[in-house]
Amino acid sequence: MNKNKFKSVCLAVLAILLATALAIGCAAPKAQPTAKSAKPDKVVLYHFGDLSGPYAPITAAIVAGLNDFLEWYNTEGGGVDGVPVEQAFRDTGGKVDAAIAAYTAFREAKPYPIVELLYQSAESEALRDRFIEDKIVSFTAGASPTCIYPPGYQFAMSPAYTDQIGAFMDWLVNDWAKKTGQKPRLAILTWDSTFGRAIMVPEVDDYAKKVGVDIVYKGTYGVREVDATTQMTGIKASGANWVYDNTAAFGPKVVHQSAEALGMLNKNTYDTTPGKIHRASCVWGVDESSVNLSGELAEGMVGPRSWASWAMTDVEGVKILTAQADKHNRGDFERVAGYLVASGVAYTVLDCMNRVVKELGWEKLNGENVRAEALKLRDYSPLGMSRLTYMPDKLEPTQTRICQVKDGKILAITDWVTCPDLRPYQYRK
Amino acid sequence: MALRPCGTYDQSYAQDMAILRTRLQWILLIVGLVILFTAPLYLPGRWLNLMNLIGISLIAVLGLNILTGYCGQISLGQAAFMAVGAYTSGVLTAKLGWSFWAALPCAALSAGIVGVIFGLPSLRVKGFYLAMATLAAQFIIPALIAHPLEGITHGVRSLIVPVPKIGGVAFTSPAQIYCIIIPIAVLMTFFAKNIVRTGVGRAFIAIRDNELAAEVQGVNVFAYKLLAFFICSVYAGIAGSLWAHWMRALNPDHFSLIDSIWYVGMMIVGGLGSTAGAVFGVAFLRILDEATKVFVMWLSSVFIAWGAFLQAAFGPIVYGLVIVLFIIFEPRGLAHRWEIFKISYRIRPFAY
Repeated sequence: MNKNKFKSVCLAVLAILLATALAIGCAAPKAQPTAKSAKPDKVVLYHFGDLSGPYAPITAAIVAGLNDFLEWYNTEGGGVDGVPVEQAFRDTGGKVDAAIAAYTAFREAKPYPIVELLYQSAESEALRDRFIEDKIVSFTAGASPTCIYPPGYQFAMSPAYTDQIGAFMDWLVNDWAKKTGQKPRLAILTWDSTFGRAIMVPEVDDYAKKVGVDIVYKGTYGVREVDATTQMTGIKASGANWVYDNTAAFGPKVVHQSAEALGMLNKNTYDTTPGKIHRASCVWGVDESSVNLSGELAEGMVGPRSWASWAMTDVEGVKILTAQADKHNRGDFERVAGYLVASGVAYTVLDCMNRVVKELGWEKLNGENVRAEALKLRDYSPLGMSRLTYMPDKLEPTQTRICQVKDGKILAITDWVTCPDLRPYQYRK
Repeated sequence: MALRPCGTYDQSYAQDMAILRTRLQWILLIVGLVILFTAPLYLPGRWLNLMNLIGISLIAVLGLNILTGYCGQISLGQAAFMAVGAYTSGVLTAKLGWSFWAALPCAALSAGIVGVIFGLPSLRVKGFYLAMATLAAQFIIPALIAHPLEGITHGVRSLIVPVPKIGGVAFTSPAQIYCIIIPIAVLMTFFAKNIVRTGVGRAFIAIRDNELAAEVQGVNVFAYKLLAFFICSVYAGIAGSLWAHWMRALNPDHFSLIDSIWYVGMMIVGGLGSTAGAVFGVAFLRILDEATKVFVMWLSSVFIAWGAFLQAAFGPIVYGLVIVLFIIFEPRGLAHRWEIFKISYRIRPFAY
């Protein structure tokens, strides 16, 4: 073969290769989960989150919590039908491509994932359709409407952020306004992120109007910003008496210290001194990690918290987990909400697995059946730490308690209340 | 200067210009591509996933290499230009119902146009000052996507993007999306390699080496600089479009400054002004990142009580340390090491 002919043949082969690549793509079979029949050696709870980025303080506590909880569950709780449970975790650094990589790696791991836990809105949104395609149940702490609706395989660990602020507004009107005789004038100052802006939606505005709360200011600050005094000046000018942030960890501290810098901080809930402001936050803001970071400044902060706090020592789950944390010498930065929430959610999903195994056998233990079992939960109380109800059209809990920071502890100031339904309008019946 | 394969003599200009000069090189290329294109048939999804990430990063870095490596114009906004392509493709497919295949060229074009706009300051400023000008893109573009254009892009609430389809087949799995990303990455590598061998490429190199001399020789410096920005951003737009349809959800946070810096880092580790260097740099850093994650995961399974701390700290430390050591011991990039290897092979048994 001469040189030119050889080159022509090579080019033709290259062209055919390019064309066949697409054909391979069209025909590429999807890996199916391996069939299970016998009782396995272990059950694995797969989870991934940001351990080396901005959400690391929360995720580190979650990993520690799951480790300690599973140790207790395997020894005292009996595992899943006697089979020990392990956790497998991957750090995503808060990057969505790393979350996809973690998901893909876990999807091919043995045993095939039945349930996965994840903690960030952006990751949950990117993986939403993949969970449905692969029939893997996911419980997410970052439950934005985009990842939950239309309902698929993702469940929220806490009520939607819109429902949470709705429950807070209910308390504002029914308790605070009545006791002080003041009209609630609410400022929303939140992170400029998917998570933070989840409450800046028409459903929240409409509900505020309906219950008689004036939303007088809306502003944002960056996840990595450490000062919001400019925004706080605007809040002062608006005449707001409450400011609500949908943030976590360091987020509420920015609000506290900005209010403090302008002499606006009000730690007494029912004090109505003009120019002073009360602070409220979501479940991840009314969190021990945020209180640890803010110290004295957090005093008086109010917010919906659908999971027990470490100060609620009469709760069964808190007792167990306090003993586990003591055993492992866990410090203050691990004894935070994430530790309890991850443990409570793990208890819930493992209980669902136990029920599936009991009713249908090991061979039927899969995402589809665990999802169906989770949808049967009504006022379910994982070791007394929360109240979970999941409905086919609402894959997020509906109940919370309003809590407050008092003397550095997070204590409930109301009983369990049902949050208003502030799902996106198009997903309501 | 690289040595040519022993016994290879040029008898025409075509032979002199050829990238592949021997039958062995052609055969290696074909075998390599066969292995690459049939990978979905034998590689597990997690590896294909990594290859997908490498493919997309490679396209972005190839574009940056044309702008920075060949034309000498620094850009710290490559991730932002990717965002333009990603959102163009995402909005066209998710909101207007376009096919991915129609949206892809539009994404490339829109990113190219935006790149030209941010390249305009290159007429007046150079070096660090130009870096600062392109850095502006990294702030302005995500902010525009997140706020003024929120009605179209969904802002910080993710935009859900449909998967590519051919006929009735949806490309959902890592293996399927691989079959789109990798052939495009191969084609873009081919174009990048050849662009710099044309008159345009030589003009780029002339501008990089001595702008004044290039102008004296009749090179329209401003036009060529803008062309370099356009080509660079077209590459970014294509990478962004592929990213959007692979991720299936778009958020401005996906395209951060740190990503732009990493693209520059990949180019430097691979070797500036070398197409092979871009391939090496991207592959090396992406595989290193994945390897450290897997290693730390294994380590944390051994030291269970320290698991969280190990994963939080050890991975980034190992990753950073390897890069620093690499820069110390091979500052001219992996492409240079590859050239040394080839020369050593050709003149064997004599020492390099």
